[in-house]
Amino acid sequence: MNLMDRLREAGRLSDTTLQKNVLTPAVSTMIADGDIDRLEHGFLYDLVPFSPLFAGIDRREIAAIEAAIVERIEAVGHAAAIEEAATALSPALQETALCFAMRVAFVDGNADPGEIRSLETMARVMKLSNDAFDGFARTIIALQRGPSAQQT
Amino acid sequence: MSLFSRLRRQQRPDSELQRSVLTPAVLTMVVDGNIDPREAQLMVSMVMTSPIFHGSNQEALEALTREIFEEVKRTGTAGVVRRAAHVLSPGLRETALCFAVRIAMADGVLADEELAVLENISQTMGIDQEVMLSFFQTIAALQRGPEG
Repeated sequence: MNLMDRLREAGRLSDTTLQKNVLTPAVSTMIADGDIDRLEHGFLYDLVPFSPLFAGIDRREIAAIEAAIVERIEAVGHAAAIEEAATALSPALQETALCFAMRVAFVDGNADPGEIRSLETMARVMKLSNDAFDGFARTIIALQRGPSAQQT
Repeated sequence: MSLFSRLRRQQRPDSELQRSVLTPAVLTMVVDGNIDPREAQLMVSMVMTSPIFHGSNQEALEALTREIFEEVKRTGTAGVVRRAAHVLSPGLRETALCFAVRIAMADGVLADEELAVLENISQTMGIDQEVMLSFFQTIAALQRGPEG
C-alpha cells in the first residue's frame, strides 16, 4: 500500500474518485502530445481552487489525482479512460469535466490536434450537440484570450 | 508546445488594456457600493491565470482594482464601461464580460443587481444575449459542486 492509500485509509484524505473522474479529460488533454509538462500541472492546480468540487483539496492531493489518472490512461488508453470517467459522472458534471479539459486545451486560445481529439472523445461520450460544444469553447477561449487578441 | 513557451509568445499587455479588461469584473464586484476584500482577492486570483495579466502581481492588481473603483465613483458606471468598450477589441470585450460573469457567479448565486450590471455591460459592449447565455452556462459548469 502506498503513502496516499495509507493516509486515505487513516481518514486524513478524502475520497477523490469524483475529482479524478472530473479531471480525467483535462489530464488526457494535458498529456495528449505524450509529454507531461510541469507548468501545465501548475496550471491545473491553479484552475481548480475556484471549483467547489475541489474545496479542501490541496496541491499534494491534486498531484496524486493527476498521477493516478496518468497511470490509468497509460493502462487503458486515452479514449477508454475518458469514457469510463465520463460514464461515472452525471451529465452536469460531464459538462464540468469538458470545460476543465477545454481550459487546458485552449490555454493560449488555440488547441493542438491531440488536444482536440481528447475534447472530441469527451463530447462524443457525452452526446453533446455541436451548438453546446461551440458555446463552451467560445467561453473558454474568451477566458484564455491573451493580449495579442487586441490586434484582431 | 509547453504552456511556458506559449505564454512567452504572447505580447506583454499594457496597463490600459488590463484596466479595460478588469473594469466589468470590478463593476460587478462593487454593485453594492463597496469592495469586499475577500471578493477582491478572489478576483485577483482568477485573473492571474489569464495571459492578459501574466507577469502582474497581486499587489498591482489590487491597486488597479481600487483605481477602477475610484474611477467609477468619479465618472459613473456608464462612462467607465464605454471607455472599456472603446479600448477593447471585440474578442477582448468577450473576455472582459466572461471575467465579470465569473465574479457574479463566484458565490453560486446571481443577484438581480449583478444580472442588471452584466446586461448593461453586454449591451454597451455589443455582445449578443445568446453569447452571454453561453457564458453563463459555461461558467456555471466550471463552478459546479459535487451535487451537480
